[in-house]
Amino acid sequence: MFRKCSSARIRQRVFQKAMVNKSRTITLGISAFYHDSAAALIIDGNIICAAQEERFTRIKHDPAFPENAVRFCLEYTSITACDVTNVVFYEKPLLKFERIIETFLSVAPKGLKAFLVGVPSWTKEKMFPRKMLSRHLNALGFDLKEKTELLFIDHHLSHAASAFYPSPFEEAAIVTVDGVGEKATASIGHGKGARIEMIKEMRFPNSIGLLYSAFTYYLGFRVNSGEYKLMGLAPYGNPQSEQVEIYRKKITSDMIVIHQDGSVELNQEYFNYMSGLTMTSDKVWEQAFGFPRKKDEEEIMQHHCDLALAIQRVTNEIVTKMVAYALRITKSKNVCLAGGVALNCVSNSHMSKALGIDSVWIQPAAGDAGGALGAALAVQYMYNDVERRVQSTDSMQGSYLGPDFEQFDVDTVVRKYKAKKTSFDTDDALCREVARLIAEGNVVGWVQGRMEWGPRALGNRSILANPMDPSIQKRLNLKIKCREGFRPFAPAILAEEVSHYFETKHSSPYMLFVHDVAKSLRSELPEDYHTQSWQDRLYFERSSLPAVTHLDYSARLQTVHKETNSLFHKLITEFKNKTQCPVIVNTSFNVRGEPIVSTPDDAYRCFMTTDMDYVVIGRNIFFKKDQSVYTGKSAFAKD
Amino acid sequence: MAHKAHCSIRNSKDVQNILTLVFALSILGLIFDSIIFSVIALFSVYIALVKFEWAAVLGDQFVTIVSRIGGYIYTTILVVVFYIFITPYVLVVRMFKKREIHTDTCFENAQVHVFDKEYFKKPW
Repeated sequence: MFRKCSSARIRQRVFQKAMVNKSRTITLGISAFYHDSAAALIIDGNIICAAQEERFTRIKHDPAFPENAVRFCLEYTSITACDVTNVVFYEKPLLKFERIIETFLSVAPKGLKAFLVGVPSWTKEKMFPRKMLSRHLNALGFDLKEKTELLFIDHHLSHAASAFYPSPFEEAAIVTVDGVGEKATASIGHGKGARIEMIKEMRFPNSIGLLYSAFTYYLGFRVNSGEYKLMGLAPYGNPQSEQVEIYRKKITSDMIVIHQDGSVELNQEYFNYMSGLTMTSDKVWEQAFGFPRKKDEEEIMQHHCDLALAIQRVTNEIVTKMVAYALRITKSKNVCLAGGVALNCVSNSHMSKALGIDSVWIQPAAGDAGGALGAALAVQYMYNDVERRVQSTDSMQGSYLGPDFEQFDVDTVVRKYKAKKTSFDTDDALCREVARLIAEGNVVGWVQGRMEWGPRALGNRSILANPMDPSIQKRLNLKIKCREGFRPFAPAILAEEVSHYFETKHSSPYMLFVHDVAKSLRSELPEDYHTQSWQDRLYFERSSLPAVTHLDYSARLQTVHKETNSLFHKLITEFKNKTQCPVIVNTSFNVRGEPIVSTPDDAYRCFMTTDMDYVVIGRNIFFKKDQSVYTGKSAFAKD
Repeated sequence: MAHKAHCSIRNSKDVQNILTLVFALSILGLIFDSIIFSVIALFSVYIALVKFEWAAVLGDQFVTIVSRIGGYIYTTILVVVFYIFITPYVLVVRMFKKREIHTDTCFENAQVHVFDKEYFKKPW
């Protein structure tokens, strides 16, 4: 599947030479069997590669054992399974099972249905993690008896390690927040050098991740995948309305208690996740908020947006208090974050601003996929005693850790689909042409180099467009990505230009923070703006960058650095030369319900089933109008 | 036929012994409030009945059917034990157990602070 190309052969020689000369510790991290399975490979503390299984199987959030991702890791580094020192699973399955059984016991006799759905899969296989993992690993050529050790670490330690070890900090407070791991739902730790010490943890059923997921569910989105939609919906809430404040007070007075240290206690009368198969007790919520749970395709109303804003404000408050507490008890000035809640870029920015701290580092794959990376790093540093070398930026290499491709793969696509392309000899010529196409209002798919690690496309598997074009958001959402019209788009900006266009001086290479568009670029809002319907506000031009300015002037920006992605940097520079604007719309290359594309073949198929104008794969440009009729189906699916 | 009948009788005795042992283990598990202990004991019934004893006695062609039936039996046993035996126990325990009220924090000290090499080797 992963053909050994010229660069792979070079890597192979380098690795083989190194293996002969020096004894190395190679650790493979695995996350699987819940959602977002992934594998990551670390050699002597260096992050070599990491990928999510969904990108290979084309099943979004694929929970299966990541055999394709593991195979990729081995083939990318040209090592055999027997060379791997340890394989580490990202959680302790038996502790998780204990929590599940304890939960059923605590709610008995309720929960029979959930018990019948959940427990058989555990008793059949998951209760025997060693056997289950060995079966998969043996099939991939691992020798777990003689050569490779199978290890396990706690879910939240995996998250903590994924946040601290790649960070640019020698010492830092570590905060992890997600739905639930084994028993912990949030934790506070302290990292120093190569060691992590866990200090505090909040335990199930009190969970910030589950609280946010409950609102995700109540507002008609899917749990474990729709949380970022809820975050995108929040700015459509009316910030001046009393309704938002009423909702917020209802949440903080009846549904949860927020303590000063950011820990929360959830009133289980409102929630159903302990005993049922749903997140909320719908009748109780309907009484509390005055409207029923929104059905999947039901139209979004203003009260839905107001509730989204209310829970976003509550989340901001919790995260801020928790990080403040973590900094206080660790006496640290730096903080690292991971866990699904750390993907909430609005909360991250609120926390950073409220506490006045700049030294915040967040793992770009902060969700469960990142657990594979964290588990492998923890074993390298705390089990294999590898020396940690802190890098001045971070050690994620821009998060471009996935598979790459060669011209051969593009030629295969051309032959397979009888595609027509125009090729360029140099990156300069390519970037000039693509910048021109984008400046003229075309929507361009952009597939280059190694695929990104984490849920965001950072300029290697992206769809690009002109941010100054006011029609772009509608076109991208409805005709190309086939997704909800309210969803915002992110700007990618040259790192050196960020302070001129946004209210920040700091870099944000992984789209994990939001910042307001600079005041000088904003348009004046009509007086009744906040009382207009959200649909009316949606297409109002709020700035000279309308395609990337959200309703509250915020933007989830990506700063593009020459050091980590020189080609993307060059492209935006060319775009700036043509338009005076160093900003480009950057959204992930996929349609709704489909994982981000990985191979040139995935990209071409996605291109042909959408309204995209061009796709650029390597140094080749494919123009839609030149292509033969494509008979394949769109990968669009309800997510 | 004679051999099979003999095996069935032997199997039946073994099953009785196993069930007695498991019942004892389950009770012990309940007494000591060890859920894992109870579950492991119950699971051993499934292993003993389906994977080894019955399969050996009835021959390969029955293994699939027996495994399936065994799965149903096992799930039923689990459900029965949980919802008939354990529920009253839990309800009684709950009556005497005071509800934990967090006054100023829901944070607790981390279960494991420092991670030695043994920690990594265990799936629990």
